[in-house]
Amino acid sequence: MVYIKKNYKLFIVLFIFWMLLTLSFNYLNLAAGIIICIAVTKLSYGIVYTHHSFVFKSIKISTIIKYFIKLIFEIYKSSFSYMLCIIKKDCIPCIAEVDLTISDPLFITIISNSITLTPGTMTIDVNDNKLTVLSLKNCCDYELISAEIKNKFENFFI
Amino acid sequence: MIVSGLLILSWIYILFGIVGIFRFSNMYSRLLTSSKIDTVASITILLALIFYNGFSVFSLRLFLILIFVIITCPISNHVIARSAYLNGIIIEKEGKK
Repeated sequence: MVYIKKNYKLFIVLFIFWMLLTLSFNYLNLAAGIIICIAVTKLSYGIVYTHHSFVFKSIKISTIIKYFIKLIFEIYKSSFSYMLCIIKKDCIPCIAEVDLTISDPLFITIISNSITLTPGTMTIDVNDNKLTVLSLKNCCDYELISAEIKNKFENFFI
Repeated sequence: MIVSGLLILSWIYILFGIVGIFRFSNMYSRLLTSSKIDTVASITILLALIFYNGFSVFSLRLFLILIFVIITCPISNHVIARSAYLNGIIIEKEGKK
């Protein structure tokens, strides 16, 4: 309970999310929301926050919005090229290792999630700042895959 | 018009996803194709529903669901691909047995 008092921000964000999704002001719903949000906040100790502060550095909201728009654009762009891959059936699945220059775990998570969201690529494994990426392209060029991922996603956070 | 277009687009994505699953022989290619339905088709359907409802509380809820889907969808695909890779399933070129 002490940790929740110290890190009330996460609890508030979770509770707002709960209320917006349920939109019900019943006592039962409020109580359920509070209990679940406290449980999640408590379970997040050591992962999202420690007794000092949050583990991750906060990102500007403008950066998140810009990245979200870019991500949606990239998803649709690669979805059309992936449809061509399905029609032609001339693609080769290959695994490439991508060394990222950034070392923040939050940014690495965002980048690896974005890679998996983009059709035709998927993050298989993460070791520190080295990503193992599965890609389905016409040619199996590891450097090209690595450069493409860096240009698309990593450069946004540098 | 926009809503109908987005819904048709999502159906095209789902159709291509299903075709891809049957068309590809490799496990990894099939996985990549199925993840396409998970992400692109579901995002398109949710965007269509947001446009259909306009500026309302329901759209805000749909937008929150969209963010939730974007954050959580890749995890299941990542776990399946990781377990296949760590268990040593070989990557083969498409069309070769």
